[in-house]
Amino acid sequence: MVPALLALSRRAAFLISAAIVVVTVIVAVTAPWLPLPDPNGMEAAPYEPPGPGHWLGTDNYGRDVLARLAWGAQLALIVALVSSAIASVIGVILGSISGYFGGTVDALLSRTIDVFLLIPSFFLVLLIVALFGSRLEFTMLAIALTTWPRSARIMRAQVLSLKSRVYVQAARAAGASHGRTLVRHIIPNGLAPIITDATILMGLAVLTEAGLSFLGLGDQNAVSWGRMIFDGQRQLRIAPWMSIFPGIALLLLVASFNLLGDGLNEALNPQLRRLAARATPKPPMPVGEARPATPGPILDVSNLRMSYRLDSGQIMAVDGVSFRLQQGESLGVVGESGCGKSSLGAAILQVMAPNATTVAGDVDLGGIPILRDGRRVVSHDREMIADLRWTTAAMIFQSAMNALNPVIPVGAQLTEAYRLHRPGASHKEALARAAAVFDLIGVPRERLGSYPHELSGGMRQRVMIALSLLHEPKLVIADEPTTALDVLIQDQILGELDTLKRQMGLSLILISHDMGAVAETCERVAVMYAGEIVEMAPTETVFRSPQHPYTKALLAALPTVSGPCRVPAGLPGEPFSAGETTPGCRFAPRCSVAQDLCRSSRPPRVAVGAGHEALCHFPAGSAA
Amino acid sequence: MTRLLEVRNLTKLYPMRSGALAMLRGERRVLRAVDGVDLDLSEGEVLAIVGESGSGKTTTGKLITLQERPTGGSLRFDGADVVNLSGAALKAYRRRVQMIFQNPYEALDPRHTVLQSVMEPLDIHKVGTPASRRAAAEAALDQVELRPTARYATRYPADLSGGQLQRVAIARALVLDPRLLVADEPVSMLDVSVRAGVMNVMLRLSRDLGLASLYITHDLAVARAMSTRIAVMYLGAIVEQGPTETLISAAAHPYTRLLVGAVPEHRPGHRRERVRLAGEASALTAEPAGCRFAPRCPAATALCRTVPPPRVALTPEHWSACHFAAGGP
Repeated sequence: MVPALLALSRRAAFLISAAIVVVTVIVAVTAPWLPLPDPNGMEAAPYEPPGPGHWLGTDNYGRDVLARLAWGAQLALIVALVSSAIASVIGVILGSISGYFGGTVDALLSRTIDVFLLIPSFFLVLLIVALFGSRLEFTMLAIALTTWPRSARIMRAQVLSLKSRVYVQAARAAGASHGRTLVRHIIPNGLAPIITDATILMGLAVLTEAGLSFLGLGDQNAVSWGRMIFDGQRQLRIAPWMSIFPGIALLLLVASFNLLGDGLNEALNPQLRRLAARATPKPPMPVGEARPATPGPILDVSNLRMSYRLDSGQIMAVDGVSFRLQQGESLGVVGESGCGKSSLGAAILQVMAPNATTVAGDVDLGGIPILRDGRRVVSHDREMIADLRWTTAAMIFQSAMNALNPVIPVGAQLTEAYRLHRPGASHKEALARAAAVFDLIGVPRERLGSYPHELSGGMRQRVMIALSLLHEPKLVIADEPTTALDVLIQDQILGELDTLKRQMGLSLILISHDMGAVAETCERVAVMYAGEIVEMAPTETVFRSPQHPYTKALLAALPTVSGPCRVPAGLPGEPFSAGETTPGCRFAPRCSVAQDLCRSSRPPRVAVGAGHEALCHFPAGSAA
Repeated sequence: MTRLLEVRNLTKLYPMRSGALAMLRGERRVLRAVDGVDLDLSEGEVLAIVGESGSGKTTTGKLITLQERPTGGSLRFDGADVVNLSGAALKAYRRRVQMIFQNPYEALDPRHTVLQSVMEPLDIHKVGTPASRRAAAEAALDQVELRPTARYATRYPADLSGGQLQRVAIARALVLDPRLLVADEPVSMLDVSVRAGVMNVMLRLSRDLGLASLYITHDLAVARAMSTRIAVMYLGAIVEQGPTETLISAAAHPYTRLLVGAVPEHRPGHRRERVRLAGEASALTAEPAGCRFAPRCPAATALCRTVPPPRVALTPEHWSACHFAAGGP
C-alpha cells in the first residue's frame, strides 16, 4: 500500500514538475507577444502592491514584476539549456575518451577532473566573470566550465562498464575502429544517466546565474530573476513582492528540473521501475479455519497458482500445479526458462519476489497446513511457514553462491544462521553443527575461517548447501544448484546431494533445465511447460517411454556422450509466453502431432501408467 | 583438404598482481593462461576445444582472432604468419576470421535493429553499396532461418529470445563470408530445446559453406555433436587430442575420462560410482614440475609429479599427454 502510494506520488511529482517546465518554456518563448507591459518600462507608480492593474505589483522603478518575471524566464532557460549542453558535451567527450582508452590518458584526464571538482565552483565562476566581464556568454561558459566534471565522471563510469560488453568486443572483432566503436556503440548506450543529470545541471545553472546576478555580476542589461531578488531584498520591508515572486519562480523551476531528472531516471532505468511493482498478497487465514492437512507426505501441493504483477499486467507463472512428495523421495522439476519451475519452488516456501503472490492452491508441509486457497495459514499472528522454513524445509537458490556476505567468514555466517533459529544455542554448539555439515558435504573444516572470496565457485555452492542443512531439514528445494558450475564440480555436487538423500532420508526437489542433471539424482521427474506440469513419472519411465510430445522433444534435443552419436533435434517455435491465452493446449503451436482438438480444447490430465500422468489429448500420439 | 590454421606453441602469460614484498625482491608472478598450445585446422573442419573454466580455452579463441596478442608461439593462417598484423592487414584478417560469443543477450547493441547489426560488418569493411549490403544481410538472416527475414529485420534485440539473438549473431559473423569461425560457448546460455536448433544451424552452415570452425565448449556432449576432432584443455595446455568418437569412447587421459564420466545424462540401468576428486583446478603460476593434472589425478604416481608427460601417439590422429596413455597403472 505504502510503496504503491509512494510510486503514485512520485509520478504526480514528475507530472507537476514537467508541467511547470513546459509552462515556463511557453511563457518565456511567448513573452514578447503576451499582453504584458514593457519589462523595462517605468510607466507605473513605484512600489505598487499586487492588484488588478499589476498582478504581482511593481518594483522601485515602477516596472511590472509579472512582465519582468516572464522575460526573466527567457534568460533562466537560455542559461539552463546552453550551459548544461556545453557541460554535457565536454563531459561526454572527455569522460568517454578517459574511460575507453584507460592507462595514461585516463590517469591524466581523471586528475584534471579531480582538480576541477576540488575548486569551489562558484568562486571559479566569480573569477571568470570578474576577469572577462559579465556578458551572458561568459557567464554560461563559466557555469559550464565548473559543472562538466560531473558529466565526465558519469560518462567515464558508463564507458568503463560498457566497453567490456560483448557487442562492443564483437564490433572490435569485426574490424571496427576505436572511433566507430565509441560513437556507434558506446556513447549512445551510455547517455541515459547523462540526460538525467543534465536536468539537474540545468537547475544548478539557473541557480548559479541567479547568484551571480544577485551579487551584481550578471549581465546588467538582461532581465534576470537573480537581479530581481537582489534589487528586491533592499526593499524587503516596503515591497516584499519584489523579491518573493522571483524567489518562488526560481525555487519552482529549479525544483522542477531536479524532479524531472528523477522521473527521467526512473523512466530510463527499467530496473527501478520493476522494483516499484508490488503485488498485494491475499489476506492470511487463521489456522482454525483451515482444512486440516493430509497426514503422510512430507509435501502436498494442490492446485497451486502464483502470479506476477508486471507493468503490462498480471502473468500466471505457476498455473494449477499439484503433486505429492513422500519422505525420502526426490523429484526433479524440468523445463525451459520461463516455464515457472523456479517460481514453483519459491511459491511452496513463500519466498517470492515482492511483485509475486499465490492466488490459489493448498500446500501442506510435513503434515502442517501452510497455504489454503493461496492464503498463508497463521496461528497466533505467526505464519505457519515461518516456523517451518529452514527447519523443516530449506531452499538452495540459483547462483546462491554469490549470496554469501563477502566480509564475514563462512563459518561465522553458518553459526549465526544456526543461532537465529535456536536462540538458546551456545556458540560452541553452533560451531560444532557448522563443522558437522561441512563434513557432510565434503568441505574441509579449516575452511570455516575462510572468507567467501577465498573459496572457489564450487566451494561456495557447497557452503550454501551446508547452510541449508544446518537445521536438519526434511525437505530441500534446490533451484538450479549447479548451473553456473563446471561439469566436474557439477557432477561432484550432484553426487553429494545424492549421498545426503540416501544417508539422511532427505526429500529433495531438484529444479533444473537439464534433463540429464535430474536423471541420476531423482526418482521422479515432473516436466513443466507454461506454468503447468505436463508430464510426471518415475525417471526411468520418462526416459524410456515419454508420453507428452514436449517431453519427447526435450529428450530429443539433448546431446549425449553415451550411445550412438545423433544430432540433437531442435524444437520449432518459441516458448509459450505467460501473457498469452489459448482455449486449447499451450504446447499445440510447437507440437509436431497437434490436431484441431489440441488447438480448441484444454487437454485432460490422463493417467497413462503407474504413477505416470500426462496433460495431453493424445498421450504418446495415440490418435495419430 | 588444405590446412587453414596452424598454431604452434601458442603462449599467453598475464602478469599477476603480487605483494609489495615480492615486488621488492623482483619476483614477478605470471598466470600461464595458455601454455604451449598446438592446433591444426583444415578447411571445412570443426575442431572442438573442450575444457573447464580457467583452462585457457576462451583465451585461445581470443588469441586466434587476435583480440589478444600472444606472448609467444606462432599463428599461421593460410600459410602466412599473422601474430604481428596491424592496420589494413589486421582489418583484412578480421574479415576472414569471425567470432561468435557466449552471451547472446549482450552480443548485439540494444539500440540497433537486427538488420543494422547484421549489416555493420559490411559497413565497417565498406563492402558493396548500401543496397547490396542490405540484401546480403537479409540473405544471412535467411541462412540462419530467421524467416520471414522482413519480420526480424526491423526488430530490436530486446524483442528477441536468446536463441533468436544467437542466430542474429551467427548471421552477423557470416555476412562477410569468413573462412574461419571461432565460436565461444555459443549455446551454453540457451535452453536445451533452443540449443539444438542453433547447433543444427551451425552444423548446416559449416557443411554448406565449407567453413572451418573452432568450437569452444565445456560440454563434451555438445562437442560430440558439433565436431570432427576434439582437443581437451587443462590449465592452459592440450592434454589429449583426437577424432571425436575415438576420444570419447577410448579416452586415454585420466582427465578426459573424468570429463566423459561427469556429463550428466541418463544411462539406462547404470549407476556409476563418482570419484571424489582431490581439490579443484587452480591457476597455474609457474611451470609445473611434472604433469599439470597430477595433483588431482586419481592415478598419479611419483613419476607424474616430477616428469612432464610426453605426448603419446595412440593412432596417427590421436595423442595423449599422459605417462600411462598406452597402458600402465
